[in-house]
Amino acid sequence: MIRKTAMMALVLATALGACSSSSETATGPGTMVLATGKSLVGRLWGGGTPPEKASDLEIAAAALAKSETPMMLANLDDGPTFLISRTDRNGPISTYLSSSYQSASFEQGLLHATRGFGRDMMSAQANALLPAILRASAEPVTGTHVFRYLDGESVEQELRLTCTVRNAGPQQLALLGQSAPTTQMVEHCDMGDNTYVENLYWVTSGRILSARQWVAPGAPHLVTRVLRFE
Amino acid sequence: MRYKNLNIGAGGCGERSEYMAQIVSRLMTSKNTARKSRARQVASSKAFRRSVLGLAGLSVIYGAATSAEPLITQTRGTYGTPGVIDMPTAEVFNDGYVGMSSMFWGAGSRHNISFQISPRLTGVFRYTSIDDGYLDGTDDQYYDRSFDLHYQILGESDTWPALAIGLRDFVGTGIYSGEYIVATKALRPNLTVTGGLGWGRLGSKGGIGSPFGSRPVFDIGNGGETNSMQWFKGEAAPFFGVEWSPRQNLMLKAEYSSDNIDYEQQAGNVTRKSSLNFGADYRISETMSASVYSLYGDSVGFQFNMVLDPKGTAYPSGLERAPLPVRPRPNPNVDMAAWSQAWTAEPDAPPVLRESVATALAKEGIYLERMGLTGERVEIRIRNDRFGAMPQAIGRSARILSRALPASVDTFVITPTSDGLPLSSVTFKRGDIERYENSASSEIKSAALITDSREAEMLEGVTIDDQFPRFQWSVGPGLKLHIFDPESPLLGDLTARLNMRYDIAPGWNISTQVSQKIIGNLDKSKAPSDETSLHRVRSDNYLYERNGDLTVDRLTVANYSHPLPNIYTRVSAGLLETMYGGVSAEALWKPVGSRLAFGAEVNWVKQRDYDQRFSFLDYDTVTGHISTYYEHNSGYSARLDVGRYLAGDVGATLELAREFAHGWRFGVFATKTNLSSDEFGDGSFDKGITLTIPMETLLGSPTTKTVHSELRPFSSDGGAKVNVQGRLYEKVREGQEPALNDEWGRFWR
Repeated sequence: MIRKTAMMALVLATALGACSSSSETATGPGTMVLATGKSLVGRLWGGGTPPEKASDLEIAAAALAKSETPMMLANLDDGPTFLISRTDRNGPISTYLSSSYQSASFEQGLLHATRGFGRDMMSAQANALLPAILRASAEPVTGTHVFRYLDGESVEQELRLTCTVRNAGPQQLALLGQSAPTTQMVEHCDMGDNTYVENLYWVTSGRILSARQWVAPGAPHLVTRVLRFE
Repeated sequence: MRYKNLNIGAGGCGERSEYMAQIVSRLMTSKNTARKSRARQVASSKAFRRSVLGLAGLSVIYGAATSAEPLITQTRGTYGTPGVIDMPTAEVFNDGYVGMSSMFWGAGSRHNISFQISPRLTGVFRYTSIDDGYLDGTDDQYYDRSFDLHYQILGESDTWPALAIGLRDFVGTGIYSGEYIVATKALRPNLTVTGGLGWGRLGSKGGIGSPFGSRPVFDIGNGGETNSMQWFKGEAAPFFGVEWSPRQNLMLKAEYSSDNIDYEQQAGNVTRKSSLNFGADYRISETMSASVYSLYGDSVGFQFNMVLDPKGTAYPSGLERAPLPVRPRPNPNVDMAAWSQAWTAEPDAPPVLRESVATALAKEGIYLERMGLTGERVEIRIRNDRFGAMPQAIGRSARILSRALPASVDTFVITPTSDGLPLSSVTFKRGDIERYENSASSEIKSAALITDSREAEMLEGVTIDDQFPRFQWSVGPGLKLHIFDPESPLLGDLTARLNMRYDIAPGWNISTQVSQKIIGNLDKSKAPSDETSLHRVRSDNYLYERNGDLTVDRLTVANYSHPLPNIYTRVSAGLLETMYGGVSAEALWKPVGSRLAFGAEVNWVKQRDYDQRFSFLDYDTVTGHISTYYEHNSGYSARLDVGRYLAGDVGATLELAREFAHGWRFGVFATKTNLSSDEFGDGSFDKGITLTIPMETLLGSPTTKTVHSELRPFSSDGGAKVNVQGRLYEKVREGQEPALNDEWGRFWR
């Protein structure tokens, strides 16, 4: 209800807006991403293989057929699914872009940055932990995970957290109508004050097939599923 | 144009504001993203700020009392300061908080704007109306303006309460004048008790003695003087309060008031039957709350509160499109050919490269004005028309250069400009851009070299053809407001506004703004009632406000230049502002890394005719100032202007301001000239507060527009300056340290 009022107010604001000879402000896709939609997250976590939304399968099939680039399906908690494809690579970091010009950068599936979501991860560092996640280490591994984000004044803040990666056992993952055997890795970072960051990774054969990763304070998590690996 | 001064600055308390609808919509949107977080998700950014900044940060601020925490509240009393109902508490608001509240009760209404100027100092500007006020002898509403200051001396610790003192209505006519010392303790997280001692109006009922002697009578005179001889003198009376929050979003309050509400009782609309006041405060959203009161056993009150917290923007990393990623160069061992400079031999190469860089930048809202290119070095001059932070425009430009240029080009020099004026030059090694794309923004900042453009630029650049001459126009709604005037509280016109701008060549432009009144009551603006021996340089503003048809608000031709390192100049001529036209010339000395700057400005102006077209009145004068600017770390700044003002008076203006890293800026200013209080008239000397808000923080979407307001409790003819647009200091500082440093977090955004 509050959102409806806000939308109405926004419409009113746009109606009062100006026209000019040059386009100045670019409206972002953020509102679209934040719109409610059916979530596939719940389906990912279910024990068995519940049916996926037909539209997701269609998006995926069409995209895979159209191009050779690495791509993933992504969504923010409770948000609609969108496709991201790799456009660039700088060293170990690959950047994926969506059709609404939001991007996410990964290092072998571990989230390094997002852009265009309103509350973004500016950059990250998890050198000590990534190998343990990828090899689905049986033993818990502890290391530092650094997160950087912009605060309310757009000043870059850095969070250095001590995180532990644990093996949560094998799990069948429902993906595109097929069932994939994976190992679930859980990364838990304690922040004190009864708050923590928790990231989930589903790993298979040394690669992250799917993940649910924390982005920034006050922001929804980013859930990704690989359609085509790099 | 980066900085827009929208101030009317004349007559009553003038304030013009834009984008009201967008502001309202932003305020009405609760922070949905935070609400949607799941139970296990990390806590909101406020908790983060506390945990990230850490107690170490707090102890730096609070010095000796290392275990004391500032007692922060979200609720306000009826006077806009942290308070129970009419009585204050020892709490403070969040640093940087700006809030507005309106309270209505049987005896009238109070409208407050509250500012948390620094972690311990709260300021309130208030405008009240008392029904059937008798003070001016008529039956009309009595309107009054007042200022408060509230300072938390001690934060709260485990054993001791927080302690604060305050001055209520310490400048002006003194209807609410009072002082207090108050202590507040949170017995439980949801239960707070307060007790204090009040003087003046806050000591008018239940006094227990006069500890500091009797209270002298305050001679109001022309208003605008502080009542310092009265502070803490006279009867002191105790007051108490309790605030209890039985559930989230609801707070119940009760207080024992030491205010005898003499004026309101004499006006006849309320009788003081009890010293007890009760209230309930309901929080509607993160930014809005409403309260209901039972006052003095005789009246019901209602209050509505709204918050603007510049540190709590909903989209700290913005909603703009993702930037183009940096494209690293191929490994020279693998692909040696890509690194050769053979391309420089082809005559077509530079124009093609210029074109591709210009096109890519334009898509980002950045315009390439000039480019110099050799086999190893590129120098570009850019005009940022989109991003509220210059580092973001510089970062996006660096990314584009990394994608567009052959591998041999190893040095990037990016010079942001404003109105054709090069503000500074930022020099990078391409390898650093590639290396630091995915690391902390401080890394690329250390690797960058920020210097004066005359030192950094070595190449003879080529001006991009289609940038000059350039014509732009825009049409939109506008508001002309005249508020806080004692005669008439709220006057305004909705206008249709046409802005046109013609950039003839780098540094030369012609710009104009024309308004047409659509609807409004600004023409009801009244003549001032005071007598003055000065020429009415501002106080006949009402004559201008009465004309709304096709007013030429501004029509100027301006030239900006950077003739020597660290020196910037401006010359503008034409219809400079609503009331004056003429010639204005300015020079500024500001080295790129310097916190200190010096400027000088001279204006020869003639007063314009009331219809604001092309004719003039007889009055002309020369004004001028020498200015010193100083910007300190952590956002505090000061500015001193010494010179001659519009009415021929000579004196100085001091402005103190605090700017947050994000660009929100609060300031207070005062002018003292060689006019006596009597000559000056109402207000005694010119003073007021300023508020500047970059629109991007409210809208989320990128924009360079800012809203700037000046609020004056009194306006008069003394200490009046010409309201020239496009002055140098604001323009130049945006592209230099420390502003670049403050916003560097956005370089990779």
